[in-house]
Amino acid sequence: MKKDFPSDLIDLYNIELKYADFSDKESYVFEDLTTPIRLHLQNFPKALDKIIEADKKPIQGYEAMPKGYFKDILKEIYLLAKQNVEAHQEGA
Amino acid sequence: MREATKEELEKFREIDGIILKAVKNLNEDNFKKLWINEKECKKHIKKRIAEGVIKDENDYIEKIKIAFLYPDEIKWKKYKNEFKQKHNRMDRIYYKKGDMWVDVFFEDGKLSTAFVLKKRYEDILLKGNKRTFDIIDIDARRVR
Repeated sequence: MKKDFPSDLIDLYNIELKYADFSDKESYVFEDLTTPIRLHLQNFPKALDKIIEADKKPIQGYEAMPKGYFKDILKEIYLLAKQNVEAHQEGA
Repeated sequence: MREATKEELEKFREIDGIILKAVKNLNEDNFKKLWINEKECKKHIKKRIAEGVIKDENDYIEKIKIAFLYPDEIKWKKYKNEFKQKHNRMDRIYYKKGDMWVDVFFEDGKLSTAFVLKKRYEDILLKGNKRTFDIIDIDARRVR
């Protein structure tokens, strides 16, 4: 069955990341909503082109973050984001 | 997912009561106090307006109120004690209205987030290491 292209989730991910503050330890943004969305978007190769700018933010955030729980929960989408941004740079 | 024990229902009533006290008189003057800090409050208002799911702050308040006061489903994401202590985590309570809106509160009564459901609910609810939490189904009719 053909999967519907998730335009609304792409918009949501871009907005969530625009306002995400990875330096704020009290911010739980990527745990509740952003992480499940990012994982889902991985199933749509064409969606990945549209979230390059947003994906740069969890990469910077993760790399600057001290070791701990927040870093652990961000790792899952950090790896996907990094893969996406690097693939885009190679293809550019 | 499992049913709540008698003790858990008692505990849940306490948490729900704390949230109810804050939510029933919610307005634009005290809305920021519902969040863990003012910055989170402002950020969430901006995001939801940008997503086009609320018109303004007052609209956000109304949607949060409706989902909390008249939920179709309540789920308690209850972390294991060892995990909570190690990571300084708080349980979350999810109040879902229809297939549309979800309020997520911490066990201390503060709001974590409230959003329009665009993703499979189970994916959001079950996010994380499943060995570290239980999902408890709360029957709203038994606690209100």
